[in-house]
Amino acid sequence: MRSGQYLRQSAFLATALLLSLVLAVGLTAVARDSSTIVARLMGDISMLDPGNVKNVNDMFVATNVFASLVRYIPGTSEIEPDLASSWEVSDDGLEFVFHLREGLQFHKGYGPVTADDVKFTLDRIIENGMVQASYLTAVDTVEVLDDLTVRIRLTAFDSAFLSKLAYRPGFIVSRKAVEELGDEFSLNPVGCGPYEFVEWLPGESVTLRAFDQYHDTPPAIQNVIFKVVTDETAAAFALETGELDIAVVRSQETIDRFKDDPGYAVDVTPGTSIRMLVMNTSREPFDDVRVRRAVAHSIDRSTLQAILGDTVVVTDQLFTPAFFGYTPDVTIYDYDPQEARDLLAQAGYPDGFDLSITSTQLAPWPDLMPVVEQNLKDIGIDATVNFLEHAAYNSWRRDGDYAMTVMPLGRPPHPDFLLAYAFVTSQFPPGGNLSFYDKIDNLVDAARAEIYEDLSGELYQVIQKKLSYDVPVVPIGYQAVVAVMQPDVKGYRPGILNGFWARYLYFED
Amino acid sequence: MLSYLARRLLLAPITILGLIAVIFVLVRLMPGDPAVTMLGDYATEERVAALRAEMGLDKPWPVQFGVYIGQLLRGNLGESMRMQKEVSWLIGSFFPPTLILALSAMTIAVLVGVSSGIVSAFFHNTKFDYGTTMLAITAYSAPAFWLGLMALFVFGIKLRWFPITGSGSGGTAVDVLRHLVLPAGALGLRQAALVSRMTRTSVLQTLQEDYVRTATAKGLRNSRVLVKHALRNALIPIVTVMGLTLGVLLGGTVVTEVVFSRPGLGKLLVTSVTTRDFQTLQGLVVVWGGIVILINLVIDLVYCWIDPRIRYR
Amino acid sequence: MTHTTHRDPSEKTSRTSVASSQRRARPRVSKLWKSKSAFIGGFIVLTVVLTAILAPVIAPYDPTELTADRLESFSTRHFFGTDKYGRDVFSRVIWGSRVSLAIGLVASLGACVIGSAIGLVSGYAGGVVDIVIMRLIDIMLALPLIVLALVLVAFMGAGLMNVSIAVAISITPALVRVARAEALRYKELDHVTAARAIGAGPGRIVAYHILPLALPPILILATLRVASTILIESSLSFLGLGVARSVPTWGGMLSDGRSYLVTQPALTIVPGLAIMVTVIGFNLLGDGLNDLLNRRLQDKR
Repeated sequence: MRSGQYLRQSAFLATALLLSLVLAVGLTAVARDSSTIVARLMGDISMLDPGNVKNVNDMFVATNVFASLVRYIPGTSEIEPDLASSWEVSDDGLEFVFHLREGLQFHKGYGPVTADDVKFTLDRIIENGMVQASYLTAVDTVEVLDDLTVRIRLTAFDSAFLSKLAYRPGFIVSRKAVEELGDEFSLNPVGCGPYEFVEWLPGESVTLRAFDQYHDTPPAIQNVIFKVVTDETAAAFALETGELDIAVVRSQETIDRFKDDPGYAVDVTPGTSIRMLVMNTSREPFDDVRVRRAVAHSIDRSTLQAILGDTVVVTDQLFTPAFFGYTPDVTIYDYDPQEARDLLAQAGYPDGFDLSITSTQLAPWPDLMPVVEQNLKDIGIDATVNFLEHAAYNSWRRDGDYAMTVMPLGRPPHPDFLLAYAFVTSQFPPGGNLSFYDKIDNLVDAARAEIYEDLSGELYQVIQKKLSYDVPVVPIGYQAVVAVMQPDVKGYRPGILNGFWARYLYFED
Repeated sequence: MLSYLARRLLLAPITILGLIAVIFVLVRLMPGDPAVTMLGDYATEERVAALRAEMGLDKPWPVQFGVYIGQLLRGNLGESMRMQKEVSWLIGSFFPPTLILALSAMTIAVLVGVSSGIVSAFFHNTKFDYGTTMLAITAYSAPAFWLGLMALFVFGIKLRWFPITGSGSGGTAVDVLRHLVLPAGALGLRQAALVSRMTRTSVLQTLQEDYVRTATAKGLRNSRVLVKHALRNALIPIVTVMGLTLGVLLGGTVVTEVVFSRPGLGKLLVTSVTTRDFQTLQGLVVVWGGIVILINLVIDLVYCWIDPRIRYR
Repeated sequence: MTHTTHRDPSEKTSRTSVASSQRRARPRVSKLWKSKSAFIGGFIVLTVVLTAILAPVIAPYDPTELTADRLESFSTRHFFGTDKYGRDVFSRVIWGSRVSLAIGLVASLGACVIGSAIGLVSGYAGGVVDIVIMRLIDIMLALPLIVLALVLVAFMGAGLMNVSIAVAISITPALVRVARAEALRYKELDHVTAARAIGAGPGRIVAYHILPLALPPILILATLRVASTILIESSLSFLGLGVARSVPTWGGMLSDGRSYLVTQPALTIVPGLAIMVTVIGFNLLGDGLNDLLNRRLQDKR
């Protein structure tokens, strides 16, 4: 039949045309551009105003756009000068005078960085009650002494003050830019860091360009594109196809995929974001220290480490050597189920008891809670874990109505951050003191206010010993920061606190 | 037809209003206080209370609802506290990529579906027909994200023909097209199966109709018969399905956007759900639902126009 | 898949007339094919159901048992290999049929019961009740299935029960529509009018006279919807909003196995195939039943 042939022919022709069109479009592949590096963002940014930044994706971008008076030496907890070339501290520790470097400039022609901008930065956080204000509670006044000198007076000595300035609240912003841009500033930030903000394609990417007037060593790579890839597997695939040059990853599967592959470099660094089991010490049964110790003895950390792989560095201590004032000389609770059962019997629970644990669904808890559940069952505690979605968990825990729960907490490596948030009575729920622990308030204040570093360090050691002795929380481990990168990406320095420092990166074949 | 038209036009806004009311209530019943979620670790009692007042959460529900409707009529969908941006801006930014994806998928679905359906109908009961049918059933029965994943794996990773992340916006038109091929293809394939089957059935029946047979008997060449009569009538049910198809495709973008890391309303929806960004969630549902309702309205009207039999009810 | 949806007669009578001309022309073309689909579909569904029931007997391993043989490939001990926890994939797929099927059937059945009740009442009662209910249904239909399910799961949280409820609610509207159409169709039948004349209450009439007639199309749609529910559940699991992780579901296995696509493809391909075959089975069954029904109606005319 003629029409049949006609139809067949046109069908073939159409298909052939379509296929070749598709192929033509597809094969226009993109070559590698060595002036640009593509890094992964684990989610889209929401706001880049350093006064309000708190989400890890915002931080990735912010750490490149902004600079502060002082900064952490990457990978350590030590402070070094950044925008300030030097500083002096008064004898009573209550006055800090910072000397800014000469010739510092803000991005996009917003002029020089002056002491006034420093004052503006700190004042606006405190006065507007921005999210970061809780770090600046010790600040009394900020005075401009001259264009390059600023004096900050504290109400009480804070041994963690420099740490705080190195952290988010210390990101210096341009007064002129903030006043000019108003609300727009949050999504079009102006700082004085190594990279300028170029553009944000919502849901897609953030582009940065090297700032030619950066005061320190200029970055080797001219352009940085942060690509939003939320899904772990998609990130792994993108690394395979080269659509991502470097990616911070969270899942063990991804790590396993690339760990032994010579075609990629993997960097695993323990961070300072701790995961711990929290027991409510204000009510039964965990008001009895023996019961708490029993729980501490019941946790099988080797199985936990096997399950969690590289994503979490399992630990039995609250602090790591990276912390200021760290001491290994604390009470360690070995894996000893028999001892645990004995302790329970002593405390009056020879047959154990029922326990309901509420946890968040955030990784790695769903992976590790089954092990914890089993561990507790082995010593007679009939535990059941109930998972809440993370937002719901954050709301739920504010009521403080539980016997045991979990807590993920990420803070800089100065112990005051962790202690002042989670172990003082002023922070009982709805605050962060989920264990209702009330025994070290004085010690924490004293340690923070102690001017002499050695004494301060000793006080922190005492605190660690006390905490391990009283065991209101059982530390599980520290989230590791894992990055996978193409083999020609060099110079990576892990940002233990959700920073991502692009300026150290360079390409080398 | 006018009364039909009037009735449908009147119903649409009522339905939308009802939708708003339902999602309004649902969102406020969700566990997890949005103010707390937003402030995260830094939430103190005073801050939470202040934020709740600022978001208007402390007023009674009917008042909140009234305020919201008032804002809506002025085109203001509220502001997302999480992003410090207006919801309308958010939706406006993410709507185009989703729409492009859905429309591309629909184009593929229609082109592939209709053509294969027509060919199947002509060669019905042959191997080609059975083969296409099996293919169609397979495509339709596989989970949407699985198809996307397979496509990503085969064409994106193994063959490296197409990119697998992002939407290529900010680049050239070719860039955008390259990024569209895999997700639109995977998304559209399922609907193509449906369209193909429907087209086949429809064309077959039209070919059996008396008037077609008469025309053939009269000696009109088959191809002209096909074009003039059969196709037009056969396409009526296709048009009916289009509205449904677009709705389904819009839903399919949710998963596809995650698999291919594309920006879009789907991603925004998932994010606003997990972060309890209820202003955005509300706005999204309202816009989404509104669009689907409007599409159905348009389809109904187009249907009326195409099929003269209905016009004179 | 290509079933003739019974449309609301009051709105689209002309479509029904097109439909009946379709039926006139059908037998010659599709008789052979369609009667097959009910059989094939039924066979597949039966196999899946039996697998689910006999899971403890058939599965060689405990699906939640962690072994040390992680990520093994096909072997004589583990037919389809093992996953990252060392769990046997074959056993998990078998046990997975239970959950996926359970959610599918429970959600479908629930939606069926509630949907028919609402739809029949709406259709029979007419008037304001009808209008209000239909508007509510329109609202629910305004959202794509997955969006509706997402919002509901966000509202109720994840977990077996909640996911089933969310899925059930997502598919109820379609069933309500069908039930209502049936009620409208049979409302004016002779024996119904007669029953009304005797003074039978509306409840009785709906239950004894209309329901038996309306049941077949409703059941058929419900059968087809089982396929949808399985697909929705797997999508929800993929997005991380499904059932708890230790319980094997096909959707969950797909989500977990995704990362190992390159190294251990069986982890994704096998559960994907399981879903596909089951969905095909239900679709074919529904399709076949639908045509058997149509043919019966046709013969009656």
